Amino acid sequence: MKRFTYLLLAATLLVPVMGCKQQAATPGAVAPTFYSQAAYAMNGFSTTLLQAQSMFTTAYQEQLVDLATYQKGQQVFLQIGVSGEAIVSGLQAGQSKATIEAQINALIAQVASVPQAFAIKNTQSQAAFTALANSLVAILQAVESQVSATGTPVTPAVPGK
Amino acid sequence: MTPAEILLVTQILSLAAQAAAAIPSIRAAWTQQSAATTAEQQAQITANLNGAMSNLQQVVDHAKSAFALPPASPAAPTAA
Repeated sequence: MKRFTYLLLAATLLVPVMGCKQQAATPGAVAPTFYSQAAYAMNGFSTTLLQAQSMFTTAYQEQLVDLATYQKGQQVFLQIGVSGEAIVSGLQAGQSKATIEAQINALIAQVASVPQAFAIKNTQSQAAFTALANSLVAILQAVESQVSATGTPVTPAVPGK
Repeated sequence: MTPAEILLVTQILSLAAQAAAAIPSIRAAWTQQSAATTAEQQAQITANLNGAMSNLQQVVDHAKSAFALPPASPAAPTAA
């Protein structure tokens, strides 16, 4: 079971790389807006986050964390999930760049706190989760960088759900 | 941990480093390349945001369920 967990973690760490692969240019193509790039990256981020939560649950089931730590960690996941939903809702509503940028920066701080919240007994597993959190932060920083660097498009960003 | 498990953890950390190293080049690719037509781009945005929202809702729901766990040593219910 532990081996499965590690393999799952390895797959998760590849998501940021694979999920952000750029498509080839096509005739009539338009430059991607920061909304399109942020949407793509948020999808990859949320997939990675969901898998990280699943691995944390597995760590609890394998008694690498106690119930109190597990619930503390899930509280962090809850906060990150709610913050992520706010960002996605903002993108869907075409919120301003400044608002989205501020939300992403807040989310980066939340994700960066994840390793401290986990406190897994097994040192190697703790290190692996820390690396995973760092990977999540790096994705968010990439999103934030794109939001900062790209101007707000003139056309509406996002259709309805 | 067994030697095999230690090896796997080492490989995971290596992959984490590779993923982190790849992000700047991904960011550069975003900036330099075009992606799709406007209609295709809108469809991709919708799909990506809907996927993200679905994933995040699962995270929130699962986190909330963690607080409904029974106590460490729950007493088995007894029939009256």
